[in-house]
Amino acid sequence: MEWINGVTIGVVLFVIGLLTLMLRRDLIVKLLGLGLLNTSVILVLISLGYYTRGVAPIITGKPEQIYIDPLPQALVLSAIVINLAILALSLVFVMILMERYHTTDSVKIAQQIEYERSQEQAHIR
Amino acid sequence: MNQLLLPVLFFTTGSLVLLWPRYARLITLVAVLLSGALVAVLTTHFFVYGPISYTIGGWPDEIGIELYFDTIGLYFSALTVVLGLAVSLYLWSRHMQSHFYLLLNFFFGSIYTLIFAYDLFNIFVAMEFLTLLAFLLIGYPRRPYQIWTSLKYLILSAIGMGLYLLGVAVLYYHTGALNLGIIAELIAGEYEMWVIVSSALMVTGMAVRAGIFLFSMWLPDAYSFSSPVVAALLAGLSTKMAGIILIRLAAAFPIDFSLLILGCITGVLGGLYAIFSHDLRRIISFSAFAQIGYLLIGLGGSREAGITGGMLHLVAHGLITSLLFLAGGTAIAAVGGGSVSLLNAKRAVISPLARLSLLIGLLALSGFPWLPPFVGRVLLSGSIEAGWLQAVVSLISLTGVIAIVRLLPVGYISDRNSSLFSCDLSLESLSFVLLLLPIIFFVPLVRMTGIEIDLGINLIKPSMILISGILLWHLVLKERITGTLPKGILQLEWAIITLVAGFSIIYLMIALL
Repeated sequence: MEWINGVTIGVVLFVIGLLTLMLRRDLIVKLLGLGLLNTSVILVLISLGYYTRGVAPIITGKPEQIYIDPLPQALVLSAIVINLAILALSLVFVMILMERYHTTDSVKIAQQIEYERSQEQAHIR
Repeated sequence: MNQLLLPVLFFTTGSLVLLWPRYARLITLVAVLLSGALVAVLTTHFFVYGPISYTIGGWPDEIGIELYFDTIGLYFSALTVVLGLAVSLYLWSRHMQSHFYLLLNFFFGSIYTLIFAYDLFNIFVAMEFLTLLAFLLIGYPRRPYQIWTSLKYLILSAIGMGLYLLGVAVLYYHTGALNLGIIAELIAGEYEMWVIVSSALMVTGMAVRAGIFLFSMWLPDAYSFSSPVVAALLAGLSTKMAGIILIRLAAAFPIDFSLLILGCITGVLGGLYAIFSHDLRRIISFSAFAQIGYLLIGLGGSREAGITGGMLHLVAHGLITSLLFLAGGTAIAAVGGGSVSLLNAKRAVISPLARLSLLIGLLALSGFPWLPPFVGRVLLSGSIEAGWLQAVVSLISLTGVIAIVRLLPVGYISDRNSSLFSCDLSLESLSFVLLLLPIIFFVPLVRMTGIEIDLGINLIKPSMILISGILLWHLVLKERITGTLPKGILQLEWAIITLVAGFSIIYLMIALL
């Protein structure tokens, strides 16, 4: 069962997130899918830096120890913060849209907006 | 050292805006002027000592963040200074809130970070920061359609950057380095599975940001619904940064053929959509797809000519689209709408300088000899040899000409009562002049930096295409092009599906090679 590791699980989660974004119409569910997608990338990054039976990258002076690569862990921190910012900001924008149209259905919102735009254009002419 | 100072300068002034919101526009203008001085210092260093490399904190090259100033850095920091100056002058008499200036300062800061970035993860972070800023800038006036557009932009970009980060992870696992120069040496001539996977992932991620058909279907809405200044910044700088990264990636990875195919797709489809659009800003946005097609075809054709020519082409297109969006914004505000028929009918209301800017910008976009994109195209077409590719490039040029022919009447300045020199000297017109000058003097400026351009023999074909496009429009197509092409592809769900399809195209193309 060696193939069940962080990398394969991460890739599966990435695909699930992508499918959620494609197939579900609810904007909140879409954003959950986006969160899943971004987190799965972090899982892949962390797993690629991990060695079996490795120890935390703190030099203790004991001989013949395998240290886990510390760089992906440092990188992942900034990626996590960015994902948080993206989710928070997009939720705010979904909230504004929801207040106006009373729905989170992306197709309905797109139709409404298209309709309003065409009305505006007709008004100009 | 100055490479580090430039982003830091803008992040500091951005915070100063929060402190003294009343002086926001003054602080922005001073910051842009200071950055101009810093860029001038860097440029003199560059001409004396050659490319300048600076690693933050003195870390080893594999993992340290390197900031690299080369010819690309030279051209794009000059573009950023010019655009920054033009934008801050254009905004001077429009009373924007101070948050807008905060976002603007941070925007320029992250642009400078990206111009000098040579570290794959640094690119990711700066790109994501740029995404967030652009997202807020597009949605700034808070109309529902703008908010929806910026949400679409954010979701698509986040998917793209997720794919990019996956590619970086694969690459780091196999090479243990994040610096592009070191990676290029390590993978030279290798075509292992992981090279294919990681380069396909990274190219897809950047393609979403660079404005390539199938990938960045957020682009037409974002360009045409946001405010003129934001559209100018997005078109002039934000998408061009992804273009730089694509150029840098093309120098390191075996992605020539996939870029070639992508270039053909984006060029032809973008050109067709531009012909079937009937709104000034829509036409400019779809022709942006066509323009990036030249870059990709050139990069795919040959690396040496492709890199120089592609860079010049990006800078030129950035200058022109931002001029068009700014002047177009003025024109649309004066007329009351952006449709081609309305602009042509009421052109007397538009200020003469805005009309002249529109005329020059549109002519340049169609590949008029001597004006900027023509120069890049000359260099790029030198790298294309195959006959079918020549045909595709001519087709793209032809669609570009046909798309803009309808708008040329806007530029007539022959109306009796308005001469060009009678217009009032507002700061807004100063910003147009500021952008017009480098456009008109592009060729001498490029020659000054030591790039040889031979314009003489390349005049015949572009002129033929220009004339045949105009004739074709007036004799054949004028009455026939009325409808629009299917708009479904611009919807969020379809945009994601086309993105995934585009990724599989890239992967197959790299793998087949």
